[in-house]
Amino acid sequence: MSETLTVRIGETREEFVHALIDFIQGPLFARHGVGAERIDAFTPLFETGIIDSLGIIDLLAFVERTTGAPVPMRMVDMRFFGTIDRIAHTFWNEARTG
Amino acid sequence: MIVRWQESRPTRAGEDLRALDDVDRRIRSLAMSFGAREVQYPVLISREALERAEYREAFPHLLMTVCHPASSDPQPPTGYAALGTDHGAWCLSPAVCYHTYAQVAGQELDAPSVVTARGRCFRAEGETTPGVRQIEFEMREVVCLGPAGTIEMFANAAQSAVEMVAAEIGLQGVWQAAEDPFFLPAASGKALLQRLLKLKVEYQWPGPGGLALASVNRHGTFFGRRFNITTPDGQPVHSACVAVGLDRWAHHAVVGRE
Repeated sequence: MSETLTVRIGETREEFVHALIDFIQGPLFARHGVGAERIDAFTPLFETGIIDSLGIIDLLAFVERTTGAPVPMRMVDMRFFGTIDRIAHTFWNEARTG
Repeated sequence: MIVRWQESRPTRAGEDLRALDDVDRRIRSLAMSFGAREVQYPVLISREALERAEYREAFPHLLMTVCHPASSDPQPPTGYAALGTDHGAWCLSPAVCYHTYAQVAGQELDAPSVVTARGRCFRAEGETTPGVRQIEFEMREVVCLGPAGTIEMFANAAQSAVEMVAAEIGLQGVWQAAEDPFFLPAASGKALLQRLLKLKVEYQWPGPGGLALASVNRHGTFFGRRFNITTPDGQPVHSACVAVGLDRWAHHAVVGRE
């Protein structure tokens, strides 16, 4: 998904949240045939099937590209990935603190 | 334990055999506490049933087929070609629970159903270690079919019950989120989703390698849809199964006593 290549994590956590929302509602939904679903930072991403087994790979790749660090398997957990807010809380902070 | 490397599974006798049966008796008792109906399934399973379950797509590297040497085919296919849909009607059961879904295929279940069975299973493991990873092994499974709420209660209760039985025989494992060993890289998303949603949790031996002693698997409506099994309101049933590897339990129980 070349659309993700130029995205950076952003100066603030809010920018990262917006980048995630734009990515999921844009390229990710388009690629996986999801309709005009609107999401926010607190929308459950997986329990309702908004993101499926193909989408999760793209989402992980996006997080890795924007933070510049691999996502360890132990972090593939609902505590860190359940919503955009949790993703931002975990990975933006981690990227900032190195 | 008597071990011959030519064997697909260690021959058991004496204490080893008693240890295996003792583990099964305890897990069977656990199943009965959930109101399970006990059944005995055959060793072979129809290729059609496994294909309906998408087993061949997900785990072609583990599937073992049954060949007939006197086949009219002068050059029967080998390797992955032998997995072709037009070759052979039977496979060796890779797990117990596929029989359960096949048996109730196309049915409407008017109440939740719990089934348990002890069965021989076969997987084409690349590397084997007796008592740990074998081509042939025995599993006791408890399968529950019904509405989502029932399945969730069953899965949670079964997890606690497995832990209790393990403690009774001195096994102390740890529950870990896990995923199935899907063959194709394209299925890696399925594996990630399994891990993320904790659809599969394993009770792992706390040594290196995270060897699974048991697993609790939540399938959602996957098998309900694949086998057209419905609830009275016409919705696909949810399902979950608990799988206990009897050889591993017996092996580690014996090792633990030594």
